[in-house]
Amino acid sequence: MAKKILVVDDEEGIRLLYREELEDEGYKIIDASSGEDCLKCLEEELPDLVLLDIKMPGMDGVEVLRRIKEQWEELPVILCSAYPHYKQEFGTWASDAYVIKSSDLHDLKEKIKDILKKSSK
Amino acid sequence: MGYEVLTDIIDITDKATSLKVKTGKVSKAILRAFPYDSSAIYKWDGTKKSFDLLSIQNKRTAQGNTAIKKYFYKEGLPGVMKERGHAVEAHTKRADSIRVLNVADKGVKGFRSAILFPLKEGKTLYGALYLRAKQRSKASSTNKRILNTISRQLAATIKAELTLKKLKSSHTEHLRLKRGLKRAEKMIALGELSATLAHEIKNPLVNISGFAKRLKKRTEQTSANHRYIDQIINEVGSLEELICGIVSYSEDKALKLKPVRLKELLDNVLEIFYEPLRVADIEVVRRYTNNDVTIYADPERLKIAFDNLISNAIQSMDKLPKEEDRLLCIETSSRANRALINVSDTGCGISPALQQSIFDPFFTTKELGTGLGLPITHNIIKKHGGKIEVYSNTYEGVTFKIKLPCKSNKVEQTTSD
Repeated sequence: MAKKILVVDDEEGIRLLYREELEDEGYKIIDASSGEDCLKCLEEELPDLVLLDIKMPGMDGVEVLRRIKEQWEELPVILCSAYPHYKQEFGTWASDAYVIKSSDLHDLKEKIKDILKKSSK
Repeated sequence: MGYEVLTDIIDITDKATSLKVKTGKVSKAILRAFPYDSSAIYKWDGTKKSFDLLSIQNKRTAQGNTAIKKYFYKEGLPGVMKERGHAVEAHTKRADSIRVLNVADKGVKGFRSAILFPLKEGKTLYGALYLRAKQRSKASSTNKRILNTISRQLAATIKAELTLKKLKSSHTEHLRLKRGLKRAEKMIALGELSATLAHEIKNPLVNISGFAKRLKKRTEQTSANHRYIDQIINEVGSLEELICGIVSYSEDKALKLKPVRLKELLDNVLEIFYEPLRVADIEVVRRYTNNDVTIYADPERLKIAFDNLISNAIQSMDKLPKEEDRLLCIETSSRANRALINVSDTGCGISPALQQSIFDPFFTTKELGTGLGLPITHNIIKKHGGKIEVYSNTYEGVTFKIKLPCKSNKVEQTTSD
């Protein structure tokens, strides 16, 4: 069965790009446009992985990450940001991977593959 | 013996000439007015504790008699004078003797009489006036008084010179700090800007480029649109690069230090440029004088630093006419716990006027440059506690001289855990 990925980003274009690119890879995509929206989605159905933007209006990615790990400890989360310096921030350590946003999605796809392989074992 | 010599000396010391010229002329005037054959003026160096010869004048009668260039603290007659704190006069029994007043002083060889005046202002010592005579002669009290006055004038002259020097060096220091401040201000502005830039510009760029790539996948290779899309992807690609450059310039990332073998690191960087170097027909000369220089550094960051230097060198040499030599020379050595790396090219060079600015962000001479390459290199080297300087070399190109500490205490702490 296709693995399900929840894409969380406040920008519609990025959501669409990730959806299309990842659907091409054979994943099933659901998306959310804010932190609050993301938590609501998770209550309804649990995906295999969350792709989480950090900088969003309202609840930011770091806070969303904290709440996810409190409730669904096993759920893998990849943090995405245009800022490389968040990588060192304490709050982001709990994520399973950290990806710097780029039009080259190769890195991201590799990390998704790795993490899903690990979690399905 | 009149007091006219004093007016002469005031005239000489008031002129805007160098200290050497002034003291030389004062000596000449002294020799004209007093029965001495040689007059030497020394400057007291308080940190090295030595009297250093400023100038010497001899009468014909004393030609061939040199003066001692340097007297250390407590050495010779200057030492005696310093200890006593006032003028000393001494006479030798024979002209070839070097013993006077219970000390040895080679300066008195060939003379029968010597007199030394301290150059003092208040309690501060600035030097010594050392007069020697071939014939035994005892200075009269009038002469001593006049020579004392001359000595005070000389002290004031040396003091003025020192003050001027200090003023000049603090002015240079001021200019240097001002430049540093300007660069720091630019950096802070960039840091603030880059946070916004990264998000506000990078996101749309990822969008444009991402969809352009998708579009390319769905377009026939033979279609004209394929070329248009490539154009979009390339242009957005260079914009993305610029944004990454700004972010990485202003980012304050901690270094991940570990032992790095310099030779290996440089070879790795050169390996990346294998193809561009071959295409540009550039010969690479590696002079690793010490194969085992190991430094504690962040290899990934250092690679970026050298990457920028080498890619600049290649671009600079690529502009040369075909027949000119194209040489990239990488030298390493180590000295006193410092690793030295020189990166030299035979390219078009950088004029001295521009050399001041090349480490400033956004300064570029290239049509397509971001002006961030060398500033990033500069930052990385500085973060390692090192130094980078640029020089024009004899091949009309430039040499970047980089100094990096091999090991520092701070580094040891981070590597031991």
